[in-house]
Amino acid sequence: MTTVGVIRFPGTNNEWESVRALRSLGVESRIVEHTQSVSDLDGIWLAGGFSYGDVLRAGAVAGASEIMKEIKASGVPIFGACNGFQIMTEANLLEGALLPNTSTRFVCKWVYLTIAENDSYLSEIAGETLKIPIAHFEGNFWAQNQPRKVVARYSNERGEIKAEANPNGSMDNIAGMYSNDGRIVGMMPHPERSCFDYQGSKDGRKIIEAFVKEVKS
Amino acid sequence: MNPSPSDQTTYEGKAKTVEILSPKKVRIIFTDRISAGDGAKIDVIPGKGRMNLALSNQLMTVLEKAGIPIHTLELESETSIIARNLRIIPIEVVVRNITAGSFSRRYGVSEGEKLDTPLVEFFVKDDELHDPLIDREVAVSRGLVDRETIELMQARALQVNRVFTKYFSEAGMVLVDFKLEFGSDSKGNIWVADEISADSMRIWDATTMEKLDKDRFRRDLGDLLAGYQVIIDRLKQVGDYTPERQSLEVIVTIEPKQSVTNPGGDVTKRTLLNADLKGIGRVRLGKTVSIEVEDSMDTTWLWKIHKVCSEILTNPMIETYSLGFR
Repeated sequence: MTTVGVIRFPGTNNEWESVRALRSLGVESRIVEHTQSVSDLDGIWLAGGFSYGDVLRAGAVAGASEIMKEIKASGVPIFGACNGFQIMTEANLLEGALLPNTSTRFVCKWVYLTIAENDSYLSEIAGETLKIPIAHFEGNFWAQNQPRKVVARYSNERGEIKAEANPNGSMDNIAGMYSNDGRIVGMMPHPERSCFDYQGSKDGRKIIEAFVKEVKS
Repeated sequence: MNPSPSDQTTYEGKAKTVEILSPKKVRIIFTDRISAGDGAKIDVIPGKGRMNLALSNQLMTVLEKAGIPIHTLELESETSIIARNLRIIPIEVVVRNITAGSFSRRYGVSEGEKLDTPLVEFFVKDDELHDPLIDREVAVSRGLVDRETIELMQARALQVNRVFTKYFSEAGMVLVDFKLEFGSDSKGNIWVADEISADSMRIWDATTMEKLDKDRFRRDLGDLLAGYQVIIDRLKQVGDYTPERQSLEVIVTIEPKQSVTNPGGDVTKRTLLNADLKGIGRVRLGKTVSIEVEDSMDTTWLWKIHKVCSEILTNPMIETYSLGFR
């Protein structure tokens, strides 16, 4: 059965929300501990949280772990949300770094996110503006050079990329990135927390749906 | 003692002869030659080489037990050893516990004053310039040694001082000061090199304050080798000595790059301005990591530390680091 593994490091805390969201979109999903193998998985989800208590830098310790080497070599579609995205940048799966928010505060709120023109598995929802929550201290995206592989930007409700819509100081309002081969996508917002009516928005389903489609293809 | 890469295979120093045996090994012969006052006073004292080697070997063995890397590979004879073929760093390190010698002359202080804390001084190994005192920053700026290496030499010298001060004290003697030389390999490892003997240290009797070292020759205070023999005999009485293992603290200083935003620093700056610290520019917050290294250094540990610094401790895209030693 096609299965997505949700990776759990010590300090990960979004694993069950992620599993539930994936299952609701018709794919088998289970939690995979960071000490286990990923070889039998068809897709990998790096869940949010505070892996290893965010010591050194958010995602740094998990980023240097053995399982990340295996994940890097796996060749399957990968999605990372929040701390998952931070781990991906630390492990050099995606370009850039996530610095502390300009406000130096933990930011937890609803934002609007507009999917950029891209050639990742999210290309089919390019141009859509989605209401999805963020919850992070280090979400201030920074890169040495103007990044080309941007998958999503913070925007207003109408999809306009404005400075006022930037919740954390990210360069160019960048909320998420993808890899050169389009197989790996990471973002600060939490699509798994906007999948059901009781969560306040179901917009996150569109992102997860596209990921599941890629996993099954 | 300046073996430098050339076709030459034998080097005559003031008191020792070095023969290059292979790219990895040298033979160091302890001769009976003695000189003082920058070569102003020269003599040959039969038996001195043998005694210097005996003491040097005893002291090097104690250092090795303390986890401090030494150049010696094997004892070849009563007057020669086989040692690692190292690049001798052209800086001598002097550690002082009590004022004496050039320190007293330079600063006009009487001999025998106990210093509050051990002092480390650096001297350039250069006969033409008469081995001048050199500041650490000047040595780095002149390209004589790199910053990390001289910091490591300083930390090592203080470790050696801790070990020896205790050892000599148990043998009823006082370690006044001593000189160390270091050799390095291409990987940045450093070893205590040259010799550590009564030629390169000042040792006094703890009760009578009688000088037992080379000052007897410098100042014509009587039989040189009688003093050297006292040192050797006293250490022998201590017996098989086990020093405390010396670990080294590596301090990794991590700084956010100038080009990267540093929100924590910006907030701190506002706080500093509120605290009436006017006229300040940018403030950046970084971090330090202290790593206690238990392992002795004759491995590629320094390279390994650099590796973890650039792969784990820092994100090279947004941070830089530097190493210090304590």
